[in-house]
This record gives sequence, structure tokens and C-alpha cells, in this order.
Amino acid sequence: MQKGPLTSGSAATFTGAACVVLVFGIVPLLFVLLRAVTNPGEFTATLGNPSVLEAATGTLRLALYTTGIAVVLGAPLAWLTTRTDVPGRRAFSPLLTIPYIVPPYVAAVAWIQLANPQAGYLNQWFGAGTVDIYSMTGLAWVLGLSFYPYVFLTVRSVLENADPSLEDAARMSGAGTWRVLKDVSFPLMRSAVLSSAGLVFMVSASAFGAPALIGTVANERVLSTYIFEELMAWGPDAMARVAGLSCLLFAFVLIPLVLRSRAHATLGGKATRRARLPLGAARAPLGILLALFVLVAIVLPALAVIVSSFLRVGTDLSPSNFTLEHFALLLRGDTLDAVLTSLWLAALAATLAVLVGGIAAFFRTRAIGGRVLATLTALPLATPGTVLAIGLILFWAPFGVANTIWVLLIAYVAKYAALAMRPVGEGLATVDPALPDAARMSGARGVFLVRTIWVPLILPSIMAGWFLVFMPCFSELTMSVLLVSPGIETVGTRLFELIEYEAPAAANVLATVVLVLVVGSNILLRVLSRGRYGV
Amino acid sequence: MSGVVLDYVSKAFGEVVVLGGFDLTVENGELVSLLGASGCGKTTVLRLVAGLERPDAGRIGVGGKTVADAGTWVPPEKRRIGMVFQSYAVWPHMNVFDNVAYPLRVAGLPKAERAERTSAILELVGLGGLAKRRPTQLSGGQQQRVALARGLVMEPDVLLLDEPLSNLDAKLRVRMRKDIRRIQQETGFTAIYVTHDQDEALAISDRLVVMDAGQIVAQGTPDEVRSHPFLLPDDDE
Repeated sequence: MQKGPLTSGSAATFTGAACVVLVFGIVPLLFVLLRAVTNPGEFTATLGNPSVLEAATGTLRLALYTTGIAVVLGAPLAWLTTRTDVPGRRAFSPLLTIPYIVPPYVAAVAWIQLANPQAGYLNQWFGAGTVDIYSMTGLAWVLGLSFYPYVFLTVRSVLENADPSLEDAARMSGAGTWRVLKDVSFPLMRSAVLSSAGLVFMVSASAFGAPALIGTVANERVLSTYIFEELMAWGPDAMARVAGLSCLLFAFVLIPLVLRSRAHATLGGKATRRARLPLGAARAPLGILLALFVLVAIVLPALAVIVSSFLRVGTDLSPSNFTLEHFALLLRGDTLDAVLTSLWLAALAATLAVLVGGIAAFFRTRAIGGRVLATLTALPLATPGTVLAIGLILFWAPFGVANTIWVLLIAYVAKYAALAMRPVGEGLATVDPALPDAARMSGARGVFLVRTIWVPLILPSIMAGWFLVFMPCFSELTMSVLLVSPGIETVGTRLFELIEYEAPAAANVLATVVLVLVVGSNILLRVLSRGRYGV
Repeated sequence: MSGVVLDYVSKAFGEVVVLGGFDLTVENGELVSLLGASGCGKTTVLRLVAGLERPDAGRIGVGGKTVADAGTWVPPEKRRIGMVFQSYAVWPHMNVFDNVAYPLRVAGLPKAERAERTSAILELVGLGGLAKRRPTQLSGGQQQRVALARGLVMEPDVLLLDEPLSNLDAKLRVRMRKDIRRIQQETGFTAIYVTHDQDEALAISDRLVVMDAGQIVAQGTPDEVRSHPFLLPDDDE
């Protein structure tokens, strides 16, 4: 593709998208850095504070534990379901990816029902004190179960695309099953495991919802929750300090990027139908283990949330405790408002994100500076939501926007435009360049050309991008709790409010709504994109 | 008045110089074939005339007007040139009628006139009964006719054809090239026809231009070329 001078219309479009990316995401992030370095005293003073050190080590410990759990679960599950004849692999595979789309705070709500030390279902069944979710281990367990699909999906796609003749060649060279695994299969998976482990480290270091719901009770603080508490307690006075802490949090997220190995596995050949490794005597026990995992990691948490939403109080399963009263919440007042607000905000954010991400994807290969714009569009997604939210407060407060609902829209578009950029970019790449060329030769240009040719040709990718943004926006919590002003609530902040202060039992209703909506959207997305997007 | 003029036109893609000072004149109503092996620059010539590429230097004129030189740039959508692509480029989300009527829709013609002219051109290319078909329901030859009709519907002065028949089977190719020649002689448009098939070029053209490495190495009428076969490049097919 040749990069040439753009027409004035194209240049205006490109500039418009670039401006949105800059003022919505990049400049606010620079403001965080600026605020931190211009008040170095404030920040260095906090470093002497033992609770800051505690929060920093908390973040590091949580990210390491979570990454460990995610790798230990994700990689073997991927290998087991793609390369072996383990029973139930076809039935369980779609279930194994569900945690990928469910926000971790919903998982936290579920595990609080299952494993709180007093009345959790598991402690009722197996005796009090069997498991305690209110601990660093419990927190890492919840996040590990939420984030293992990052490893699972990456390793699975490598295993599905790797040339099977690599393993066959080893077998022909006389290697037994174990030798083939050790010498060929594991090294093949290594770079996928490392890169996805880096991703898990990043998202678990950034996580806010589960650490706020579980860690705070367990008295285990991490940077994201510490920043939140500081800001709630001190307000704008804490800004310089908080900006410094945000830089510290951002530095944690950068660790895997710095460490990432430059070596990439080269995967030759097109995947062919291959014989699965017969597990022999291990087949039945491994099948039972797989079923048990699906039960504990997916089915039980989902049931815990859904069943609890029908209970008047606590986790008492006696018939007299069943009620529909919490669902009445959905029909009135604050909770209904929160659901409606999240619906239209997420829909609007998804539409804008598709527009901005789509423009960035289009010009990536077509304009000088297109690659830079694509990178800048992707950056906020890798940034912890907490840091982005602090930046948005710093940058937008002088304009009077930080106290309105629009700052939420800005936050969602800034953070998630990258999720729309990818499918739209992939869609654009599949279009034969002669199709738009033919339209230009017919006299079409500008908006008309985009509307009559480009959009219809890549409509499935555009819809996929829309849903990929809509889902996380609808349930967004991390940025929303920092950015909502009095009188405005979203699904995430309402749920947070209910469980922290008002009525924990009622929070299950909202968690159920989120669960149903994201799983439903995901199914719709898979159908619309014929299985290309969604999990 | 000349149909198409390229005056000392140069074009490079990065380090690769495809054309260096290329001259070509196509008379009004003439059908000129550009013949040569892949990579010789013939498609680049076509895309430069179309306006899909911008020349680095030189002048391009269409219908007596300059469309590209150091200070002038007319974008493809303003050149009123028809083009038929090698891959047909029939839009899959529109039916046959909408594909062919698209240039008229862009021009803002009233519906009735659009329908009338589209039906007429579909008759001309032999697609009379297929207006409502989706492109996926058409054979390769029929898709090629859709592309041809779309290129002609605006009654352009110049039609560019980029290896239009290379994806068709041999028998169909012979029929299609006869049809294209017939339509060209009936309607009288100027045409540049890019191909690497010598028989095709000999059968369809008023003049053949043989290219190699971005230069014209030989040219002449089909009769002249037939009597001097050494003018032709080695047939690499």
C-alpha cells in the first residue's frame, strides 16, 4: 500500500480521530505524569508511608499469584482440549472461555457467596472455615479463574495452528509420547504462555473490582484500591500524591512489556486434521478432573450468583428464604436508572469507539502517521483504568466536564476504541482493493464512498467491534467509581454501592443481569460474525 | 484531439522505478493493447491514467485536458473514465442492476433515467434478464459483463481494461473479446487494454504496444505485428 498525500476530506477525518484519541486518552495520561513530576516532594513523601509500600507489594504479590494460577490452569487446559482425546472436550470447550467476558467483580461476588468464612455455601457444606475467600490467596484465586482464559485462548490458537508434522517428525525420530511433549510441544507453547502470562500480569496488576470487594475486607490493599481510598478520603487535596501512585501502578504494568522476549515462534504449515494423542489409562481420570474444574470454576460461581439473587438474605437455602423481592429493584429507582444509564452509555461509547477505532484502522496503512495513531489508540487499553481515570479528572476538570456523565463516555471511548480497531482492521484487510477503486472510477468519493461501499463490505467486522466495546462498557467499574459524580450511577457503581454499603443480597440481582447480558451479547456476536469473534 | 496522452511520465514505488519517462499517445476512438510480461509496468500505466496512482513526474492528458502534471491533479472520481478490473470488482452487496447503475446514482441522475440507461447497457452486454441477480449467483463470464456494463454506463470517452479476460476459460475468452470489440466499435470509446495474451491483443486491437521494463520496445497494427513476429515478446504462457 502506498502512502500518499490525503485529500482534504480524508485529512480532516484523520485529524478528527487523532484529536479524539489525544484529548480523550493520551493527553490525560501525560497530565498524570506531569502532575507527578511537578510535585516530586508529595510523591517521595508517600514512599516513606508504610501503607504505600504495603499496597505496592500487594499489587506485585497479587499479579504474581494470579499469573501463576492462570498459567497453571490455562496452558494444560488448552493442551488437553486441543491435542488429546480427553472425554467431554467438545462439550466443555465453550464453557471454559466464559470467564473471559465476565467482569472479575462478578466472579468476586460469586466467590463471596461460595467461600465467605461465615456462611459461604462451600463452608456450609464442608464445615465452617474450610475455605476463606477474604485472603490474598482467595483474591488471587478469583482473579486467576477470571484471567486464565487469556492463557487458554492464546495457547489454544498456537496449538491449533502449529504444524502437526513438527510433532510427527519427532515421533518418527523415535521419541515416545513424553519425549515429544517435552522436546516439541512444550517449546512450541512456550512463547504463547509467556506472552499471555505477561498480559495476565498486566490486567491483574490493574484490577480494581475484585481487590476492592475482597481485598479490602481481608485488609490486603493493592495500589488501585489504595488510590481509590485516598481519593475518596481526601478528594482533590490528594491529587499530586495520587498522580505519583498512578505512575507507580503504571510502572508495574510496564514490567511484562520490558521483559517480553523478542523471540517469536515461527509456525509453519496450515493446520490439518490430526490424530489426537490417546491418553490411555489417564483418559478417565483426566476427564473427571476436567469436569470437576468446569463445575468448580464455571458452574458453581454462576449458580451462586443466580441462586443468591432469589434469596431474601445471606446464603440460607431454606425454602422460606426464597423471594423475588430483589428483582423488583430492577423495576424502580436507582437500580433501574443505573441499568438504563449503562445501556445507553455503553451503546453510545461503542458507536463512537467503532468510529474512532475504525478511522484509526483505515488510515493505519494509508496515511503518514497512521501507524502512530493506531499505537496511540491502543495505549489506553494497556493502561490501568485507575490511572486513565485520574488523568481524565486532571485534564477535564478545568473544562467542567469531570463532574458530568460525559466524562464516563470519554473514558469508555478512550479505553476501549482499541477493541473496535482490531476487527475493523482485519475486515478492511480482506477487502479486494479493486472494489473501492471501482467505486472511485464510478465517480464516488468521501462519505458516499464509505457509506455505499466500505461499510456494507465490512459490516460484520463493524458489528463485532461494536459488541466487543459494548460488553466491557456496560459492566465497567474501575474507571466509573472514580468518575461518577453524585446522582449518576452505572451498573458497576450501583453494584459496588449495594455490596459495600446497602444490601449485599440485592447485588446478586445486578450481577445476574451483567452475567446474562454479557453471555447473551457474546452468543449474538458469535452468530453475527460466524464464529470469528467472541469466545 | 487525442484520447489519452502520457508525456514523459515517471513512477517509482519506493526504490523500484517502474516507469522512467514513458510516452504514449492513444488516438480518439482507438483501442490500444499494452502487451508484456508481468512486472513490465503495463498495469501501472493503466492505474496512472485512471488516477489510482499519482505520477512522480510528467504529464497525463485525457480528452484534451491535463489530469495530472506537476501542478495539476484530477482525482479518479472526477476523470469520467470507465474501468474494468482483472478481479471484476463486482460489489457483492449489490445486485446486478445496482452494480451497473452505481455510477449513475453517484452522478445524481433521476431514477427513471437510471433505470432506462442501465437496462439498455445490460442488453448491450447480454445480461438482459439478470438484473435482479446477486453477484454470487453469476458465472465468471457474467460477472465480467457486469463489470463491463458498469464501466460503460456513464458513456465515458475512455475505457480502461486491466486483463479483463484472464480469469475466464479459453472458449469464453474468445467470445468475450469479440463482444468487447463489437461494443467498442458500436459506441466508439477510446480504450486501453492491458493483457499478456498475444492472440487476444492481436484479435481486439487497433494497435499493439509491447512493453518491457517500463519501456515501449515495439508497436504496430495487428497486421504489421503478424508480418513481423519478432516484434512480440517471448510468450511466457
